[in-house]
Amino acid sequence: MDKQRNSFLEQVKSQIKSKEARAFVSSELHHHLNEVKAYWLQKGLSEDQAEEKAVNQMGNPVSIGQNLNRIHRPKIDWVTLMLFAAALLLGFLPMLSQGYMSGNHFSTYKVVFVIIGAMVALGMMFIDYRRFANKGWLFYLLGSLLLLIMHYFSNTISEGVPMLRIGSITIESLMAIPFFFLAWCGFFQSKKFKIWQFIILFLFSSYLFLISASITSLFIYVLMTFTMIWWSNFKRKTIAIVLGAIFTLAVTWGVIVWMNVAYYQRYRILSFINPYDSEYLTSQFGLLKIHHLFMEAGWFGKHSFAEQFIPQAHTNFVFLSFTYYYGWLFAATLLLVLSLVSLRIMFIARNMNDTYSKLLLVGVMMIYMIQLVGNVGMMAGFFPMTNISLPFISYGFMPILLNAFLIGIVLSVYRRKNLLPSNKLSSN
Amino acid sequence: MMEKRLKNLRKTMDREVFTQLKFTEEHKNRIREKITQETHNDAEIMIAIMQLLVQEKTGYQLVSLLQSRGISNFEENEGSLYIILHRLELKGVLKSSWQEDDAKFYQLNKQGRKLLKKLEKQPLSNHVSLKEILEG
Repeated sequence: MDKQRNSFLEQVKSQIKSKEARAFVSSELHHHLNEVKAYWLQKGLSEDQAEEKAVNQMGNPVSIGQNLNRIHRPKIDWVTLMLFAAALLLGFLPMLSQGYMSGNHFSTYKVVFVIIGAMVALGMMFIDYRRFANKGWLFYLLGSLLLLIMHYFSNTISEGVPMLRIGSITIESLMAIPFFFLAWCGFFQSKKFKIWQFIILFLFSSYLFLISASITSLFIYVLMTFTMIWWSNFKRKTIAIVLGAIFTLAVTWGVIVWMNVAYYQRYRILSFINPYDSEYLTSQFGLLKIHHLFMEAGWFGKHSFAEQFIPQAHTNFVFLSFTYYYGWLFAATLLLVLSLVSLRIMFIARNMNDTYSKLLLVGVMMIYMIQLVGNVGMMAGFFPMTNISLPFISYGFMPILLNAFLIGIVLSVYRRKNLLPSNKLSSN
Repeated sequence: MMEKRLKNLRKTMDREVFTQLKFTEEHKNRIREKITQETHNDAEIMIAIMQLLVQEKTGYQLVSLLQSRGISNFEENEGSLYIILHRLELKGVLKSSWQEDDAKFYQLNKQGRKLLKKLEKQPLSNHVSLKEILEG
Protein backbone atom coordinates (compact mmCIF):
# COMPACT_ATOMS: atom_id res chain seq x y z
CA MET A 1 0.00 0.00 0.00
CA ASP A 2 2.85 2.36 0.88
CA LYS A 3 4.84 1.21 -2.11
CA GLN A 4 4.01 4.16 -4.32
CA ARG A 5 4.62 6.69 -1.61
CA ASN A 6 7.92 5.12 -0.63
CA SER A 7 9.16 4.98 -4.19
CA PHE A 8 8.17 8.64 -4.64
CA LEU A 9 9.96 9.71 -1.47
CA GLU A 10 12.99 7.57 -2.30
CA GLN A 11 13.27 9.23 -5.69
CA VAL A 12 13.09 12.70 -4.13
CA LYS A 13 15.62 11.75 -1.48
CA SER A 14 18.03 10.14 -3.94
CA GLN A 15 18.54 13.59 -5.49
CA ILE A 16 19.39 15.29 -2.19
CA LYS A 17 22.97 15.03 -1.04
CA SER A 18 22.67 16.36 2.49
CA LYS A 19 21.60 13.73 4.99
CA GLU A 20 19.90 16.26 7.26
CA ALA A 21 17.97 17.84 4.40
CA ARG A 22 16.81 14.42 3.24
CA ALA A 23 15.31 13.71 6.63
CA PHE A 24 13.27 16.88 6.98
CA VAL A 25 12.21 17.12 3.34
CA SER A 26 10.95 13.57 3.63
CA SER A 27 8.95 14.25 6.80
CA GLU A 28 7.46 17.42 5.32
CA LEU A 29 6.34 15.63 2.14
CA HIS A 30 5.05 12.73 4.23
CA HIS A 31 2.83 15.13 6.08
CA HIS A 32 1.56 16.63 2.83
CA LEU A 33 0.76 13.20 1.40
CA ASN A 34 -1.13 12.28 4.55
CA GLU A 35 -3.25 15.40 4.33
CA VAL A 36 -4.08 14.92 0.64
CA LYS A 37 -4.87 11.28 1.27
CA ALA A 38 -7.17 12.16 4.15
CA TYR A 39 -8.95 14.61 1.85
CA TRP A 40 -9.62 11.96 -0.79
CA LEU A 41 -10.65 9.37 1.80
CA GLN A 42 -13.19 11.86 3.05
CA LYS A 43 -14.43 12.25 -0.54
CA GLY A 44 -15.16 8.56 -0.53
CA LEU A 45 -12.16 7.10 -2.33
CA SER A 46 -10.70 3.80 -1.23
CA GLU A 47 -7.43 3.67 0.70
CA ASP A 48 -5.42 2.66 -2.39
CA GLN A 49 -7.03 5.18 -4.68
CA ALA A 50 -6.53 7.99 -2.22
CA GLU A 51 -2.89 7.08 -1.78
CA GLU A 52 -2.35 6.97 -5.54
CA LYS A 53 -4.06 10.30 -6.03
CA ALA A 54 -1.96 11.90 -3.32
CA VAL A 55 1.30 10.69 -4.85
CA ASN A 56 0.30 11.65 -8.39
CA GLN A 57 -0.64 15.15 -7.33
CA MET A 58 2.88 15.70 -6.10
CA GLY A 59 4.48 15.88 -9.53
CA ASN A 60 7.87 14.75 -10.72
CA PRO A 61 9.96 13.48 -7.81
CA VAL A 62 13.28 13.82 -9.63
CA SER A 63 12.84 17.49 -10.48
CA ILE A 64 11.53 18.25 -6.99
CA GLY A 65 14.52 16.48 -5.49
CA GLN A 66 17.00 18.22 -7.77
CA ASN A 67 15.64 21.65 -6.95
CA LEU A 68 15.57 20.98 -3.22
CA ASN A 69 19.11 19.67 -3.39
CA ARG A 70 20.25 22.93 -4.94
CA ILE A 71 18.70 24.77 -2.00
CA HIS A 72 19.99 22.55 0.76
CA ARG A 73 23.54 21.89 -0.31
CA PRO A 74 25.85 22.45 2.65
CA LYS A 75 27.36 25.87 2.19
CA ILE A 76 30.83 27.18 2.81
CA ASP A 77 31.04 30.75 4.01
CA TRP A 78 33.77 31.97 1.71
CA VAL A 79 33.65 35.49 3.13
CA THR A 80 34.55 34.40 6.67
CA LEU A 81 37.04 31.89 5.33
CA MET A 82 38.82 34.51 3.21
CA LEU A 83 38.92 37.02 6.06
CA PHE A 84 40.29 34.31 8.36
CA ALA A 85 43.00 33.41 5.84
CA ALA A 86 43.80 37.08 5.24
CA ALA A 87 44.18 37.73 8.98
CA LEU A 88 46.43 34.70 9.44
CA LEU A 89 48.59 35.76 6.49
CA LEU A 90 48.88 39.30 7.80
CA GLY A 91 50.14 37.77 11.03
CA PHE A 92 52.96 36.17 9.07
CA LEU A 93 54.12 39.38 7.50
CA PRO A 94 56.65 40.40 10.15
CA MET A 95 58.49 37.12 9.77
CA LEU A 96 59.35 37.93 6.19
CA SER A 97 61.24 41.08 6.87
CA GLN A 98 61.75 41.32 10.58
CA GLY A 99 65.30 40.41 11.25
CA TYR A 100 65.14 39.40 14.83
CA MET A 101 62.12 37.22 14.58
CA SER A 102 63.50 34.82 12.01
CA GLY A 103 66.41 32.65 12.85
CA ASN A 104 65.00 31.36 16.09
CA HIS A 105 62.31 28.90 17.03
CA PHE A 106 59.68 31.65 17.00
CA SER A 107 58.91 31.43 13.30
CA THR A 108 58.72 27.65 13.25
CA TYR A 109 56.27 27.69 16.12
CA LYS A 110 54.22 30.38 14.47
CA VAL A 111 53.90 28.32 11.30
CA VAL A 112 52.88 25.25 13.28
CA PHE A 113 50.34 27.24 15.33
CA VAL A 114 48.74 28.76 12.26
CA ILE A 115 48.50 25.39 10.49
CA ILE A 116 46.91 23.81 13.57
CA GLY A 117 44.57 26.80 13.86
CA ALA A 118 43.47 26.48 10.23
CA MET A 119 42.90 22.76 10.73
CA VAL A 120 40.83 23.35 13.85
CA ALA A 121 38.61 25.90 12.08
CA LEU A 122 38.07 23.69 9.03
CA GLY A 123 37.55 20.62 11.21
CA MET A 124 34.93 22.43 13.26
CA MET A 125 33.09 23.32 10.05
CA PHE A 126 32.32 19.66 9.40
CA ILE A 127 31.15 18.97 12.94
CA ASP A 128 27.42 19.34 13.33
CA TYR A 129 27.26 21.95 16.09
CA ARG A 130 23.67 21.04 16.90
CA ARG A 131 24.96 17.91 18.59
CA PHE A 132 26.34 20.19 21.31
CA ALA A 133 22.95 21.71 22.07
CA ASN A 134 21.94 19.34 24.84
CA LYS A 135 25.40 18.84 26.30
CA GLY A 136 25.49 22.04 28.35
CA TRP A 137 26.26 20.19 31.56
CA LEU A 138 29.13 18.26 30.04
CA PHE A 139 30.80 21.44 28.81
CA TYR A 140 30.20 23.14 32.14
CA LEU A 141 31.88 20.24 33.95
CA LEU A 142 34.83 20.19 31.54
CA GLY A 143 35.32 23.93 31.88
CA SER A 144 35.21 23.76 35.68
CA LEU A 145 37.59 20.82 35.68
CA LEU A 146 40.05 22.72 33.51
CA LEU A 147 39.97 25.71 35.85
CA LEU A 148 40.44 23.48 38.90
CA ILE A 149 43.42 21.79 37.25
CA MET A 150 44.83 25.24 36.48
CA HIS A 151 44.32 26.19 40.10
CA TYR A 152 45.97 23.17 41.68
CA PHE A 153 48.56 22.15 39.13
CA SER A 154 49.73 25.33 37.45
CA ASN A 155 53.51 25.27 37.34
CA THR A 156 54.27 28.65 35.84
CA ILE A 157 53.09 32.09 36.67
CA SER A 158 53.69 34.81 34.19
CA GLU A 159 52.51 38.30 35.04
CA GLY A 160 50.16 36.97 37.65
CA VAL A 161 48.53 34.53 35.22
CA PRO A 162 48.79 30.92 36.30
CA MET A 163 49.73 28.60 33.47
CA LEU A 164 50.29 24.94 32.97
CA ARG A 165 53.37 24.31 30.92
CA ILE A 166 53.72 20.93 29.25
CA GLY A 167 56.71 20.85 26.95
CA SER A 168 56.49 23.81 24.65
CA ILE A 169 52.72 24.15 25.02
CA THR A 170 51.33 26.46 27.63
CA ILE A 171 47.77 25.94 28.78
CA GLU A 172 46.16 28.95 30.35
CA SER A 173 42.77 29.74 31.75
CA LEU A 174 41.67 31.25 28.44
CA MET A 175 41.09 27.66 27.31
CA ALA A 176 38.16 27.36 29.70
CA ILE A 177 36.25 30.08 27.84
CA PRO A 178 35.13 27.90 24.88
CA PHE A 179 33.82 25.23 27.26
CA PHE A 180 31.74 27.68 29.26
CA PHE A 181 30.65 29.32 26.04
CA LEU A 182 29.23 26.03 24.74
CA ALA A 183 27.75 25.35 28.17
CA TRP A 184 25.81 28.62 28.25
CA CYS A 185 24.64 28.18 24.66
CA GLY A 186 23.25 24.80 25.66
CA PHE A 187 21.63 26.08 28.86
CA PHE A 188 20.13 29.22 27.37
CA GLN A 189 18.53 27.48 24.38
CA SER A 190 16.72 25.09 26.73
CA LYS A 191 13.26 26.11 27.79
CA LYS A 192 13.61 24.10 30.99
CA PHE A 193 16.59 26.06 32.27
CA LYS A 194 15.65 28.08 35.34
CA ILE A 195 16.98 31.43 36.45
CA TRP A 196 18.12 30.10 39.86
CA GLN A 197 20.18 27.49 38.04
CA PHE A 198 21.79 30.29 36.10
CA ILE A 199 22.62 32.24 39.28
CA ILE A 200 24.24 29.26 41.01
CA LEU A 201 26.14 28.07 37.95
CA PHE A 202 27.29 31.56 37.08
CA LEU A 203 28.49 32.45 40.57
CA PHE A 204 30.32 29.17 40.98
CA SER A 205 32.09 29.42 37.61
CA SER A 206 32.97 33.08 38.18
CA TYR A 207 34.52 32.09 41.49
CA LEU A 208 36.59 29.45 39.72
CA PHE A 209 37.74 32.02 37.19
CA LEU A 210 38.57 34.42 39.97
CA ILE A 211 40.78 32.02 41.91
CA SER A 212 42.50 30.32 39.01
CA ALA A 213 42.43 32.58 36.01
CA SER A 214 43.63 35.91 34.82
CA ILE A 215 41.52 39.02 35.23
CA THR A 216 41.28 39.13 31.44
CA SER A 217 39.71 35.68 31.23
CA LEU A 218 37.24 36.57 33.96
CA PHE A 219 36.41 39.79 32.16
CA ILE A 220 35.81 38.01 28.84
CA TYR A 221 33.77 35.34 30.61
CA VAL A 222 31.47 37.73 32.45
CA LEU A 223 30.91 39.99 29.46
CA MET A 224 30.23 37.01 27.21
CA THR A 225 27.70 35.46 29.59
CA PHE A 226 25.96 38.76 30.32
CA THR A 227 25.52 39.40 26.61
CA MET A 228 24.38 35.92 25.69
CA ILE A 229 21.70 35.78 28.37
CA TRP A 230 19.68 38.42 26.50
CA TRP A 231 19.17 35.89 23.70
CA SER A 232 17.98 33.21 26.14
CA ASN A 233 14.39 32.24 26.87
CA PHE A 234 14.28 34.23 30.11
CA LYS A 235 12.08 37.29 30.39
CA ARG A 236 13.96 40.53 29.86
CA LYS A 237 12.81 41.91 33.19
CA THR A 238 14.07 38.85 35.07
CA ILE A 239 17.41 39.12 33.33
CA ALA A 240 17.74 42.80 34.20
CA ILE A 241 16.99 42.16 37.89
CA VAL A 242 19.36 39.20 38.17
CA LEU A 243 22.21 40.92 36.36
CA GLY A 244 21.68 44.01 38.51
CA ALA A 245 21.90 41.93 41.66
CA ILE A 246 25.04 40.15 40.46
CA PHE A 247 26.59 43.47 39.56
CA THR A 248 25.95 44.86 43.05
CA LEU A 249 27.48 41.74 44.53
CA ALA A 250 30.50 42.12 42.27
CA VAL A 251 31.08 45.71 43.33
CA THR A 252 31.07 44.64 46.98
CA TRP A 253 33.42 41.86 46.11
CA GLY A 254 35.59 44.24 44.17
CA VAL A 255 36.34 46.22 47.30
CA ILE A 256 37.60 43.05 48.97
CA VAL A 257 39.61 42.04 45.93
CA TRP A 258 41.17 45.48 45.78
CA MET A 259 42.75 44.83 49.13
CA ASN A 260 44.25 41.54 47.99
CA VAL A 261 45.23 42.22 44.43
CA ALA A 262 48.91 42.12 43.46
CA TYR A 263 50.69 45.45 43.60
CA TYR A 264 51.43 45.71 39.89
CA GLN A 265 47.79 44.94 39.02
CA ARG A 266 46.50 47.66 41.29
CA TYR A 267 49.18 49.83 39.82
CA ARG A 268 47.98 49.19 36.29
CA ILE A 269 44.41 49.99 37.12
CA LEU A 270 45.50 53.17 38.81
CA SER A 271 47.66 54.10 35.90
CA PHE A 272 44.72 53.46 33.61
CA ILE A 273 42.66 55.95 35.53
CA ASN A 274 45.52 58.39 35.41
CA PRO A 275 47.63 57.35 32.42
CA TYR A 276 49.98 60.27 32.42
CA ASP A 277 51.05 59.67 35.98
CA SER A 278 54.71 60.63 36.05
CA GLU A 279 55.82 57.73 38.19
CA TYR A 280 54.30 55.28 35.75
CA LEU A 281 55.83 56.98 32.77
CA THR A 282 59.36 56.82 34.02
CA SER A 283 59.18 53.28 35.27
CA GLN A 284 57.10 51.50 32.67
CA PHE A 285 56.23 51.22 29.06
CA GLY A 286 53.33 53.61 29.28
CA LEU A 287 50.67 55.21 27.22
CA LEU A 288 52.67 58.31 26.40
CA LYS A 289 55.46 56.19 24.97
CA ILE A 290 52.96 54.12 22.99
CA HIS A 291 51.37 57.17 21.45
CA HIS A 292 54.75 58.60 20.69
CA LEU A 293 55.81 55.44 18.84
CA PHE A 294 52.50 55.31 17.07
CA MET A 295 52.75 58.86 15.76
CA GLU A 296 56.33 58.34 14.72
CA ALA A 297 55.43 55.43 12.43
CA GLY A 298 53.96 57.57 9.64
CA TRP A 299 52.03 56.23 6.69
CA PHE A 300 54.55 53.65 5.60
CA GLY A 301 56.36 52.78 8.81
CA LYS A 302 59.94 52.76 9.97
CA HIS A 303 60.85 49.31 8.68
CA SER A 304 63.11 48.80 11.62
CA PHE A 305 62.96 48.06 15.29
CA ALA A 306 66.49 48.88 16.18
CA GLU A 307 66.03 52.33 17.65
CA GLN A 308 62.99 51.57 19.76
CA PHE A 309 62.29 48.77 22.12
CA ILE A 310 58.73 47.56 22.40
CA PRO A 311 58.03 44.97 25.12
CA GLN A 312 55.79 42.02 24.25
CA ALA A 313 56.09 43.02 20.61
CA HIS A 314 54.57 39.78 19.38
CA THR A 315 51.79 39.41 21.88
CA ASN A 316 50.07 42.26 23.67
CA PHE A 317 51.74 45.06 21.75
CA VAL A 318 51.74 43.38 18.37
CA PHE A 319 49.50 46.09 16.94
CA LEU A 320 51.94 48.77 18.01
CA SER A 321 54.99 46.95 16.75
CA PHE A 322 53.30 46.23 13.42
CA THR A 323 52.24 49.82 13.04
CA TYR A 324 55.70 51.06 13.93
CA TYR A 325 57.24 48.75 11.39
CA TYR A 326 54.75 48.96 8.52
CA GLY A 327 52.99 52.26 9.09
CA TRP A 328 49.46 53.57 9.44
CA LEU A 329 48.28 52.27 6.09
CA PHE A 330 49.06 48.73 7.12
CA ALA A 331 47.48 49.28 10.54
CA ALA A 332 44.29 50.50 8.88
CA THR A 333 44.18 47.46 6.58
CA LEU A 334 44.72 45.15 9.53
CA LEU A 335 41.96 46.79 11.55
CA LEU A 336 39.65 46.69 8.55
CA VAL A 337 40.13 42.95 8.02
CA LEU A 338 39.69 42.20 11.72
CA SER A 339 36.57 44.36 12.00
CA LEU A 340 35.07 42.84 8.87
CA VAL A 341 35.23 39.44 10.59
CA SER A 342 32.93 40.69 13.35
CA LEU A 343 30.64 42.47 10.87
CA ARG A 344 30.34 39.25 8.92
CA ILE A 345 29.40 37.30 12.06
CA MET A 346 26.77 39.91 12.92
CA PHE A 347 25.37 39.68 9.41
CA ILE A 348 25.07 35.89 9.59
CA ALA A 349 23.54 36.05 13.07
CA ARG A 350 20.84 38.43 11.88
CA ASN A 351 19.53 35.92 9.37
CA MET A 352 19.37 33.06 11.85
CA ASN A 353 16.00 32.23 13.25
CA ASP A 354 16.67 29.67 15.91
CA THR A 355 17.82 30.36 19.46
CA TYR A 356 20.79 28.04 19.54
CA SER A 357 22.52 29.33 16.40
CA LYS A 358 21.87 32.90 17.47
CA LEU A 359 23.35 32.24 20.92
CA LEU A 360 26.43 30.65 19.38
CA LEU A 361 27.03 33.55 17.03
CA VAL A 362 26.37 36.18 19.70
CA GLY A 363 28.84 34.45 22.02
CA VAL A 364 31.48 34.14 19.29
CA MET A 365 30.97 37.78 18.41
CA MET A 366 31.48 38.88 22.02
CA ILE A 367 34.60 36.80 22.70
CA TYR A 368 36.11 38.06 19.46
CA MET A 369 35.11 41.70 19.93
CA ILE A 370 36.41 41.90 23.51
CA GLN A 371 39.81 40.76 22.32
CA LEU A 372 39.87 43.13 19.36
CA VAL A 373 38.51 46.19 21.15
CA GLY A 374 40.50 45.37 24.29
CA ASN A 375 43.81 44.98 22.53
CA VAL A 376 43.48 48.08 20.38
CA GLY A 377 41.89 49.91 23.30
CA MET A 378 44.96 49.17 25.41
CA MET A 379 46.99 51.19 22.96
CA ALA A 380 44.41 53.88 22.46
CA GLY A 381 44.17 54.28 26.20
CA PHE A 382 40.58 53.36 26.93
CA PHE A 383 41.35 49.87 28.15
CA PRO A 384 43.64 48.93 31.05
CA MET A 385 46.97 47.30 30.28
CA THR A 386 46.36 43.59 30.66
CA ASN A 387 47.11 40.41 28.85
CA ILE A 388 44.81 40.52 25.90
CA SER A 389 45.86 39.39 22.49
CA LEU A 390 44.98 40.67 19.06
CA PRO A 391 42.94 37.91 17.38
CA PHE A 392 44.86 35.86 14.78
CA ILE A 393 47.85 38.22 14.92
CA SER A 394 49.33 37.88 18.39
CA TYR A 395 51.87 35.14 18.84
CA GLY A 396 50.75 32.29 21.06
CA PHE A 397 49.17 28.90 20.75
CA MET A 398 46.18 29.42 23.04
CA PRO A 399 44.90 32.65 21.45
CA ILE A 400 45.20 31.19 17.94
CA LEU A 401 43.45 28.01 19.03
CA LEU A 402 40.66 29.98 20.70
CA ASN A 403 40.02 32.19 17.68
CA ALA A 404 40.27 29.29 15.24
CA PHE A 405 37.60 27.58 17.34
CA LEU A 406 35.41 30.68 17.11
CA ILE A 407 35.78 30.84 13.32
CA GLY A 408 35.07 27.12 13.15
CA ILE A 409 31.77 27.66 14.98
CA VAL A 410 30.78 30.39 12.51
CA LEU A 411 31.62 28.16 9.55
CA SER A 412 29.71 25.26 11.07
CA VAL A 413 26.61 27.36 11.73
CA TYR A 414 26.72 28.87 8.25
CA ARG A 415 27.18 25.49 6.61
CA ARG A 416 23.95 24.23 8.14
CA LYS A 417 21.95 27.41 8.14
CA ASN A 418 19.47 26.10 5.61
CA LEU A 419 19.21 22.73 7.24
CA LEU A 420 17.91 23.75 10.57
CA PRO A 421 14.47 22.43 11.29
CA SER A 422 13.67 25.07 13.88
CA ASN A 423 12.03 23.99 17.12
CA LYS A 424 13.34 20.52 16.51
CA LEU A 425 16.38 20.95 18.71
CA SER A 426 16.44 18.71 21.68
CA SER A 427 16.39 20.53 24.96
CA ASN A 428 18.18 19.78 28.17
CA MET B 1 13.84 9.35 -55.23
CA MET B 2 13.81 11.18 -51.91
CA GLU B 3 10.20 12.18 -52.34
CA LYS B 4 9.17 8.62 -52.94
CA ARG B 5 10.83 7.49 -49.78
CA LEU B 6 9.10 10.19 -47.75
CA LYS B 7 5.76 9.27 -49.24
CA ASN B 8 6.36 5.66 -48.25
CA LEU B 9 7.21 6.71 -44.77
CA ARG B 10 4.02 8.70 -44.51
CA LYS B 11 1.99 5.79 -45.68
CA THR B 12 3.55 3.43 -43.15
CA MET B 13 3.12 5.99 -40.41
CA ASP B 14 -0.57 6.34 -41.25
CA ARG B 15 -0.98 2.63 -41.30
CA GLU B 16 1.10 1.65 -38.25
CA VAL B 17 1.42 4.53 -35.81
CA PHE B 18 -1.46 6.94 -36.18
CA THR B 19 -4.14 4.26 -36.13
CA GLN B 20 -3.00 3.39 -32.61
CA LEU B 21 -3.12 6.98 -31.48
CA LYS B 22 -6.39 7.86 -29.84
CA PHE B 23 -7.66 11.28 -29.05
CA THR B 24 -9.55 10.45 -25.89
CA GLU B 25 -12.03 12.44 -23.90
CA GLU B 26 -9.34 12.99 -21.28
CA HIS B 27 -7.06 14.64 -23.82
CA LYS B 28 -9.86 16.87 -24.98
CA ASN B 29 -10.57 17.91 -21.43
CA ARG B 30 -6.97 18.69 -20.74
CA ILE B 31 -6.71 20.92 -23.78
CA ARG B 32 -9.92 22.68 -22.86
CA GLU B 33 -8.61 23.21 -19.34
CA LYS B 34 -5.41 24.71 -20.64
CA ILE B 35 -7.35 27.05 -22.91
CA THR B 36 -9.75 28.28 -20.26
CA GLN B 37 -7.08 28.33 -17.58
CA GLU B 38 -6.25 31.80 -16.48
CA THR B 39 -2.58 32.36 -16.87
CA HIS B 40 -0.97 33.82 -13.83
CA ASN B 41 2.35 35.52 -14.10
CA ASP B 42 5.15 35.06 -11.62
CA ALA B 43 4.40 38.19 -9.68
CA GLU B 44 0.74 37.27 -9.20
CA ILE B 45 1.61 33.81 -7.89
CA MET B 46 4.23 35.25 -5.60
CA ILE B 47 1.88 37.86 -4.19
CA ALA B 48 -0.83 35.26 -3.66
CA ILE B 49 1.55 32.96 -1.79
CA MET B 50 2.83 35.76 0.37
CA GLN B 51 -0.60 37.15 1.11
CA LEU B 52 -1.75 33.74 2.25
CA LEU B 53 1.32 33.39 4.45
CA VAL B 54 0.56 36.46 6.54
CA GLN B 55 -1.00 33.85 8.80
CA GLU B 56 0.97 30.68 9.37
CA LYS B 57 0.14 27.72 7.15
CA THR B 58 1.48 24.38 6.08
CA GLY B 59 2.35 23.67 2.46
CA TYR B 60 -0.80 21.58 2.13
CA GLN B 61 -3.10 24.33 3.38
CA LEU B 62 -1.38 26.76 1.04
CA VAL B 63 -1.89 24.55 -2.03
CA SER B 64 -5.61 24.21 -1.42
CA LEU B 65 -6.03 27.93 -0.82
CA LEU B 66 -4.08 28.80 -3.96
CA GLN B 67 -6.31 26.48 -5.94
CA SER B 68 -9.41 28.13 -4.58
CA ARG B 69 -7.94 31.41 -5.72
CA GLY B 70 -7.82 29.97 -9.22
CA ILE B 71 -4.09 29.46 -9.35
CA SER B 72 -3.62 26.04 -10.85
CA ASN B 73 0.14 26.11 -11.40
CA PHE B 74 0.58 23.62 -8.60
CA GLU B 75 -2.05 21.18 -9.81
CA GLU B 76 -0.48 17.77 -10.28
CA ASN B 77 2.70 19.51 -9.22
CA GLU B 78 2.19 20.19 -5.55
CA GLY B 79 5.73 19.24 -4.62
CA SER B 80 7.09 22.24 -6.48
CA LEU B 81 5.39 24.55 -4.00
CA TYR B 82 7.85 23.31 -1.39
CA ILE B 83 10.72 24.37 -3.61
CA ILE B 84 9.33 27.91 -3.57
CA LEU B 85 8.68 27.80 0.17
CA HIS B 86 12.19 26.59 0.91
CA ARG B 87 13.67 29.27 -1.35
CA LEU B 88 11.63 31.96 0.39
CA GLU B 89 12.76 30.64 3.75
CA LEU B 90 16.36 30.73 2.56
CA LYS B 91 15.91 34.33 1.41
CA GLY B 92 14.92 35.14 4.95
CA VAL B 93 11.37 36.32 4.28
CA LEU B 94 9.67 33.31 5.88
CA LYS B 95 9.99 31.83 9.30
CA SER B 96 9.01 28.27 9.91
CA SER B 97 8.20 26.03 12.81
CA TRP B 98 7.63 22.32 13.21
CA GLN B 99 4.51 21.32 15.07
CA GLU B 100 2.83 18.02 15.85
CA ASP B 101 2.71 15.24 13.25
CA ASP B 102 5.78 16.62 11.44
CA ALA B 103 3.74 19.53 10.13
CA LYS B 104 5.96 22.41 9.09
CA PHE B 105 4.26 25.80 9.29
CA TYR B 106 5.38 28.82 7.33
CA GLN B 107 4.70 32.47 8.00
CA LEU B 108 6.00 35.78 6.68
CA ASN B 109 8.46 37.50 8.98
CA LYS B 110 9.01 41.24 9.22
CA GLN B 111 11.19 41.29 6.11
CA GLY B 112 8.63 39.24 4.24
CA ARG B 113 5.79 41.61 5.09
CA LYS B 114 7.92 44.49 3.84
CA LEU B 115 8.59 42.69 0.55
CA LEU B 116 4.89 41.90 0.17
CA LYS B 117 3.96 45.55 0.58
CA LYS B 118 6.50 46.48 -2.07
CA LEU B 119 5.17 43.85 -4.46
CA GLU B 120 1.55 44.84 -3.90
CA LYS B 121 2.39 48.41 -4.83
CA GLN B 122 4.17 47.58 -8.07
CA PRO B 123 3.61 43.95 -9.00
CA LEU B 124 4.93 44.42 -12.52
CA SER B 125 8.29 45.78 -11.58
CA ASN B 126 10.43 42.84 -12.44
CA HIS B 127 12.06 41.90 -9.20
CA VAL B 128 15.13 39.88 -9.97
CA SER B 129 14.84 38.03 -6.69
CA LEU B 130 11.32 36.99 -7.63
CA LYS B 131 12.47 35.25 -10.77
CA GLU B 132 15.18 33.56 -8.79
CA ILE B 133 12.71 32.23 -6.27
CA LEU B 134 10.23 30.92 -8.81
CA GLU B 135 12.65 29.51 -11.33
CA GLY B 136 15.77 28.76 -9.36
